[in-house]
Amino acid sequence: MYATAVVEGKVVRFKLSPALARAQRANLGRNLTEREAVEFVETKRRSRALRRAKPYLESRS
Amino acid sequence: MKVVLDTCVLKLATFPSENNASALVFQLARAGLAEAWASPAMLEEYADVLADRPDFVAEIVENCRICHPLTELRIIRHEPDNRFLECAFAANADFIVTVNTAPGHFDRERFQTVRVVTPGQLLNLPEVRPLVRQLAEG
Repeated sequence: MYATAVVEGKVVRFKLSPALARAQRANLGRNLTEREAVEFVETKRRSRALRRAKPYLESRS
Repeated sequence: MKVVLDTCVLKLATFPSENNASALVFQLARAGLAEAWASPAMLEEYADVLADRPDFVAEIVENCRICHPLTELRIIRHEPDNRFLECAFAANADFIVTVNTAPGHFDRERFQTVRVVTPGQLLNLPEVRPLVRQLAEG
């Protein structure tokens, strides 16, 4: 599977690695903006922090 | 050229778009045209954020060089972002590649010798353009 990017104002076509190609196929028709990507990562960070804090929080209750 | 990839860049790479600079940056690293560096803390975050794509996580791990930062930094206001800076300093990286340049995040053009660039900015640098051509031709 190939993807494209714009470099120097020209469209560059490049081959995707197998796993990245599978990921893009799975996300076909879906869109993710840069802002959404940042928010997604932040949500995951918060969830992870909460998971790590859970034993401590439970021990206090 | 040594790069440290922010997690949001790898997430963006998994979504098809006509101008997917993030995917191209990853492919440069996979082709050995750029050295992608990561720390164990970063790999943990990659695996967490890309948990729905374990095969892609495996590809990332296979293509990253691992460093073990000895110093915990408190330079960036948003604390988790410091893990990427620690890695960049430990690996003596040239670039941190991110789309998160909001205040309190990677909001400077450089941290000491490490430049902060978006995937699009990286690909358009004079020293990177030949690598892109090489990848596209290969």
